[in-house]
Amino acid sequence: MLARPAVAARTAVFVQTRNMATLKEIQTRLKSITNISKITASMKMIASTKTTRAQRAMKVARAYGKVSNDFVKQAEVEKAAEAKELLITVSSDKGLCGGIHSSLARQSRKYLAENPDAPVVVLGDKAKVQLQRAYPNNIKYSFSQLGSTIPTFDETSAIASTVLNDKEIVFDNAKLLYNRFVSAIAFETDSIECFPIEQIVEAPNFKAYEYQDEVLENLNEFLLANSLHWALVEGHAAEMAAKRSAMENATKNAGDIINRLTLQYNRGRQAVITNELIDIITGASAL
Amino acid sequence: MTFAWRTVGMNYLQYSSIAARALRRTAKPELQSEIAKREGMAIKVAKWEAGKSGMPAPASVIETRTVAEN
Repeated sequence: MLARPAVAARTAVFVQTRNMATLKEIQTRLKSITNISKITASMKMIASTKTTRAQRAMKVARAYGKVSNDFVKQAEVEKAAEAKELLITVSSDKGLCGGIHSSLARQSRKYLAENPDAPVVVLGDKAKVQLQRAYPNNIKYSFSQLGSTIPTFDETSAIASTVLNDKEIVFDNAKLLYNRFVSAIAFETDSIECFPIEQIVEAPNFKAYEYQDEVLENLNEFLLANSLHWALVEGHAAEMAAKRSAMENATKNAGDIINRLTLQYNRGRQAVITNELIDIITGASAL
Repeated sequence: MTFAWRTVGMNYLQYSSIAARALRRTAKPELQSEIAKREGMAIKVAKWEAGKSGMPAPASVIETRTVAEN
């Protein structure tokens, strides 16, 4: 007669302590996830302001890229059959931006699988880390400290000038791999082709005119810088937009987890109270 | 017509950067703050040899004495 309530009391106490420990765990988790959701929400705000600014800069930079594009299209320049190509991967240093860097690295690896001898210039640490694992001997230059601000033409000129001045890197064509800004929630990895003087000279519409060789070399360098600037700014805009949507998803997921945990916590709390009530009532009824 | 700057080893981008920098310096003081944003260069370049990266060094189109003086 006395044993039964004691056993009942012991199991009740056991269940109570187990619930209390879980309650504390749930509380700690709730606190940490609330902090995380605050951080991701503020990162989303920052990324959305950066996106609007980057989009404005992208409209301006499109004018640069249009110069190279229109020239190549009007002159009807064609790619030579056995052109030595240089691959320039335009990524950045910052993470937490969705599939931006992995998509670029995947396309670069696919290209290098088909052209294992191609020299590579990597812009940005994220892509550099991925390419360095698979094709370290192809990399000629790597640029870092990119991606925190909108690229200026000065920076683009620095990159293009380093590549052009290095006489060891021999290339005809340059292929720029970058992320094109499709919309605020979508981007697409795309490539721009930059042609050498020899191909421009062979272009049917260009042959019709007289030109001076020295000016052609200027034009070649300028066209490379133009296309590179367009790729850099557009890639930056795509990255900011991807970061914004990644942070938005993270905040939403954190909010879902918070709701689920709060329900669990409340249920646990009510179970503890119910158990205490059972104890009291059993104790009182035993008297 | 060979360009003078080409003979000393400069390329067109370096030449136009110098011209752009000169133009920026002549802007009136009230516009200087906005224009200075176009000049900041924080990028670093690392040259790779045989699969190994060199030390990253600041990259710039042109090295001028004014930069060192500042």
